[in-house]
Amino acid sequence: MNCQVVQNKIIALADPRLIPDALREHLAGCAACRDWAQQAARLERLLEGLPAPAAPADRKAALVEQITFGAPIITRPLAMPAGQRESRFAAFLQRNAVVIAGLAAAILIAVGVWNLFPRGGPKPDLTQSIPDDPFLKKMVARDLALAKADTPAKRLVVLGGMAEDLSIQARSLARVASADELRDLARWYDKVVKGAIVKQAEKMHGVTLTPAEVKARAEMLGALTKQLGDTAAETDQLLNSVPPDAKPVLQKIADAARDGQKLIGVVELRGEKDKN
Amino acid sequence: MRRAVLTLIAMALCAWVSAQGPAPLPAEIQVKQFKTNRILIENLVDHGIDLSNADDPLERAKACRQTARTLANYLERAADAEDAERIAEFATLYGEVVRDGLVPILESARTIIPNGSPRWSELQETSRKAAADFAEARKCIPTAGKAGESEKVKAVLAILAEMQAKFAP
Repeated sequence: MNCQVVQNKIIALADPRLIPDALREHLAGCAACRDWAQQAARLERLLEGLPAPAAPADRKAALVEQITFGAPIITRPLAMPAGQRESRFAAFLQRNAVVIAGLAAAILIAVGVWNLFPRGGPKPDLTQSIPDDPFLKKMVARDLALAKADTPAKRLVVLGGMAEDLSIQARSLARVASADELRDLARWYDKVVKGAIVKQAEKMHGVTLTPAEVKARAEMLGALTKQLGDTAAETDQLLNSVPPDAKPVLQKIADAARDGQKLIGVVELRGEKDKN
Repeated sequence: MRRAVLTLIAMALCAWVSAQGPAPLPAEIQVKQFKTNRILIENLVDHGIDLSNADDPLERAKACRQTARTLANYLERAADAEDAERIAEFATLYGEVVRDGLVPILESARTIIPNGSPRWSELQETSRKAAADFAEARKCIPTAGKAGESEKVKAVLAILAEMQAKFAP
């Protein structure tokens, strides 16, 4: 499946936030399509937030009929989100069609004109300087959040985020980084999961809590366990599409995530026993 | 009908353009960044784990100072190499850690640790060292030459100068 096909399929999804497995495999190894999917998901979220009055439920059908009537400019109906939201969207679209079309045309013309003319100044020499590293920035932000986190629960949340950052970085570099570089990421991931997350989970059981706090703790550990499971599954999915030397490294990340899941399960079980 | 279709397409494109975030960095740049910052990132992961194991404010202040010092070391290296972009990047990150991490933790520790206790002396010593680190980091940022003339470097220097007034333990 090439990128164009994948991107067409994504935009045709009723909800681009729910990517089917068949497309997920491609996304795991393709930064451009992954970005496309993220933008589509963001657009979906923005559409949900559009202030629009309720419209009759048959509005979508009417709109689709209006679009597909006559010459087949579009050979199939555009994918629209399900439910009442589409009707609102359609009503909003119809009410403001002229204004929106004018705005869109103006933007497109401006973008086109901008791209027609070469802009002055030398192109940056990538061998001389590199732009700010977003991954580095994330890691500093995690350290900062850990400095502020004064309870095991708060630390667990931040450490979960740090582990997630590391696994995402490993997956996104899996095709282009060397095995050594990926091994570092896997080692750090293992350290954060087994050396820090599990430790904080244990600390959470060392204190007396109210029933509400016990419930909150169980929910938090449940969410963390799920996150680790998701990491393991997403990493597994990538295994068949990465270079051979990247495979064992990604496998280590998936294993560490599963080990983390098990260890947190043991901690939870011990907590339950202590309670009883 | 055609107008409606064109409107829909134009609207979708309009929404799409407005929804675009910053363009993702090309893979070769991402790898280059990772190669360049690999050791620093490992240090940050380790400092993060240390921070998560530090239970009291004094220990957290010490661990946070380590994070700040690591960034300050990289800032000094960038200054030696007169790399304006890296100076600006590290100075910004260093400033954030000091302003949003180290200073509030030290302030919080001062309200918890009893004045005159051995831990109070330790806290004072940590504060003094942190202030000295800060002065040194600020001093290493060039104010002249190729890097010193960079607008980015001038901007971070101004931010750090402003912080200096507040950061006087």
